[in-house]
Amino acid sequence: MVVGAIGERTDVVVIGSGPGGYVAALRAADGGREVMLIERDTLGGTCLNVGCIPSKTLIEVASLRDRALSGKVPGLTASVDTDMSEIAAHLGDVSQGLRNGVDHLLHAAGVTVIPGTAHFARRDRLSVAHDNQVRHIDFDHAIVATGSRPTTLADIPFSDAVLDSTSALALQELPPSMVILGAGYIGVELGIAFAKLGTAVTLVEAADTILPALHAQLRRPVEHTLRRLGVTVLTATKALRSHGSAVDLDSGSTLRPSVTVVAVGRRPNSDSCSLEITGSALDERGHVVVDENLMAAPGVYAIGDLIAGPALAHRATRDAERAVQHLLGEPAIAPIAIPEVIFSDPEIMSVGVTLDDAEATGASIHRFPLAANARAQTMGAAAGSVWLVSDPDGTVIGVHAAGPHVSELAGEAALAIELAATTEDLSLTMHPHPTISESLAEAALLGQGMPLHIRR
Amino acid sequence: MSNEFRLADIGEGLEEAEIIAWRVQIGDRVFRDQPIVEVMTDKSNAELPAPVDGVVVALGGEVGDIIEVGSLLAVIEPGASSEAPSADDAAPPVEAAPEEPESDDTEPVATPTVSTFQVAAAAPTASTESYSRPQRPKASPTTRVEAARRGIDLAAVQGTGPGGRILLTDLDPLDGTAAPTEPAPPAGLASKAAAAETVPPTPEPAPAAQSVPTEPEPVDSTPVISQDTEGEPAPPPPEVAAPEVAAAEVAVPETSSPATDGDAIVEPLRGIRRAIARNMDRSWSQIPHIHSFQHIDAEPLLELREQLRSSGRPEFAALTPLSFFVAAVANAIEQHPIANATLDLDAETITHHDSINIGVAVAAPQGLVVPVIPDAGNSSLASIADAVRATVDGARTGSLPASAFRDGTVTITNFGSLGGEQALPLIRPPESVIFGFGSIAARPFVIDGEVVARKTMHLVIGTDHRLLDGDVTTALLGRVASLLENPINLVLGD
Repeated sequence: MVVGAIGERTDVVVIGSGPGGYVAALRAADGGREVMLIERDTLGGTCLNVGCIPSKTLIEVASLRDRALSGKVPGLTASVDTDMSEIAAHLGDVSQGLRNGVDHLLHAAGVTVIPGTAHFARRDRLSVAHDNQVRHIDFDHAIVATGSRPTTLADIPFSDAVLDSTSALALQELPPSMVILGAGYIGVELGIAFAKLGTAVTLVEAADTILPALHAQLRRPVEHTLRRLGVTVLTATKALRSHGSAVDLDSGSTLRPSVTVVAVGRRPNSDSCSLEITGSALDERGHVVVDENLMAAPGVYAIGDLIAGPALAHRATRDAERAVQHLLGEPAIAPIAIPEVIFSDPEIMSVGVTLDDAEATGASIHRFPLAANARAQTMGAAAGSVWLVSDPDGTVIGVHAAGPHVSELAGEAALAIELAATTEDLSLTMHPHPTISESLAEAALLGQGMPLHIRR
Repeated sequence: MSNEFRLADIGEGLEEAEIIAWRVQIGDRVFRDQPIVEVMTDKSNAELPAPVDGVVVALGGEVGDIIEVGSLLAVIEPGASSEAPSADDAAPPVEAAPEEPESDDTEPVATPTVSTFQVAAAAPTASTESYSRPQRPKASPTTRVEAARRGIDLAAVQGTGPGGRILLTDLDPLDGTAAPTEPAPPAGLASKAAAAETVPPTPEPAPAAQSVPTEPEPVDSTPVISQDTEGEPAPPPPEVAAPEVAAAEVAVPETSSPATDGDAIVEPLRGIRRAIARNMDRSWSQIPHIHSFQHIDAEPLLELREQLRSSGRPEFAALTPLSFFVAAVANAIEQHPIANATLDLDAETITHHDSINIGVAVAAPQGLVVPVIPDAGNSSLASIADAVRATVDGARTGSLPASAFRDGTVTITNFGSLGGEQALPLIRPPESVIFGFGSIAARPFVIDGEVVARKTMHLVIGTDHRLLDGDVTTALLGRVASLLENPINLVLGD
């Protein structure tokens, strides 16, 4: 019920406060603009509240439990009590801490945070509804960063027993068994985490393999872990419908877990704020169409999961910086390398030309097995490899890895690609010993035909 | 299966070339050995032929782009139809293809060929040799942002870093040569009229980017620091001064934004002018020059030339003073081989060249070029005269191969033929020595204690002081002076 309208104006209005939106607001304020940031839920968006942060926190806890109970740590014998409600509270605490940080940053930058749900009322006006009140905000520029939400399946509606990834991360009790529909990175991360906590997990994937977007060599160590954890993997299998927590499969069988989680992907929230009023267009997958400056319509930018491309927090952050740079009339460049990391066990990272593309085009691929890396040995986690892809003149054009903590290699790998570094640049850069990062230099040495710690 | 046509090394040591003109367009049918593109290397132009029959489906750059050896010039689909570029939207069924003669296809392409290609195009092809992705300019993010800030297209920048990487400093010579691509801040909705045209913001093109109304003649464009006297029009000096006519056209009174000045005409720096500009910039900014002068009696030279010309020997029929200059310089360098060397301060090396290759500045229709007389140190005056004539003629008609401009070790500039009396010529890196020859004219000259009117000329030598000191410098010029004043030694000596 609308009981009043307040008219205001600002230079820049940002819709959504995830890693795209809050960074856009900060940077626009840094640029001297008056900025209003509108958030309908909690600051930080999916990533901070129900995505990257709680899932990585859960994975960390689950991995500690798994490690302690694995019997693989010589000299240590452990028993572990697992209290899911305390774990859930911990997840909330971590997110709350980061949320406080974002709040502080926005306050310090002079950004006005407005709670409410925004809709475009005109090309230059937003209406923001909150607590039965609507305020109108006239703006010069809008940056739309409304993100994405889990994809729903028509015949498997969400309920107390059929959860999306958000609800799965908020479980207060550990389910004895769990079916996860979708074995992309979200399904695999969740599946491994719950399996390590003691849940009997079944992964159901329509494609022929888990992590179907990845090269077979990258996912192989993860498949090994899934077997070790006793996770049932049903590939080339579709879920037809659900009743309660039970799921009928196209194979004819029915799975009856205590809870089913749907993790079949995410779809852009391009339908949440009447973007069509601005004249923006959507592509066939619902992404907002933008030009090379991330503009969707005159004065309106769209960034992050909302537009085509990898739906990644850091991509959204970079989009935010680019959009604001353009808004301010500063030069902006598109990134060449967009790193991706998967917190499976072991971790996977990927940036640049893929192994599949490298194989198809005949680019050079240099693989260094982590079995020859000292740090991996000290961790007792020597499964996996680093693959480096180089072009004919030795320029690094792709880096991929599966192994312990390889997510931390992604930054250096992306830097190498952005700088057009050569394998020689990498190998001439001193890498500290003993670290996993040495494997990057070793792969580079392979590219130069001068392998050091492996011999044929 | 597409055929990727890459820039090969068409001249010894070629690293890059500039696209001067496309002879074909995307969609054109080409035949093997048909020239499809004209490129310019440092000092020569070349037309490159298609390696196969087929249809051009992609071109590797725009006119004015500088491409590295090995980069993609064109993609030719063998046997393809001219519709190939649009074949990606819905390849027709195989059986339907022969039924489509494409009524308005003006090309005399046999229909069966069309169908053959479309079958091939529909099949997945595993390209095993190279990337289909365009080669991105190799530059750091900092450099890319700076290029965006300055409106520089990195694809047109020649990188000096390892493997042609574009360094931040490589942008400096290009500053302001391109229209800015970064627009002013996009208008917000507050100014709606502007906002409507803001997506995407389009830069204003620089006016008349392609032409300058008064194209300077090659000879006009090379005024040396000189005074005029007589002289036959002949090769101008190399790269001694900027073309003043062009400079005046481009000069911008006070504002620092030439592209927006209503009267100035801005043209892109391209081709030979760019090559000269880069090389002279490097010379002027990096090489500490020594210049030394001599004023010599030219009459013995003129007399001997007349005698040789009238001797009836065909090799001397077209003997010019330039041939004497080449022979004298070759002799002097032989006496002081340290001058036939290249100093590399970064690498901390001195490279001694094994043969004396003398570059001769020539005003050719396409601009100032410096063809090389190879191995002049081991040549007689007669053979040098032959080589000079052939080289100068070849340079003027553009018939010299790219290799004829390579590997010079010393340069001669005959600015006297333009009337220049004295000049300070600049060394052409990586060389270390340049000789200049001024006009031959009657001047007061002292002979046997008497001031007489005599035909004389001024000689100049420029040397790289990092490599050569004053003693060698003056000795080199002294040797040349002595040989030219006693030119019979140039005939007898060999």
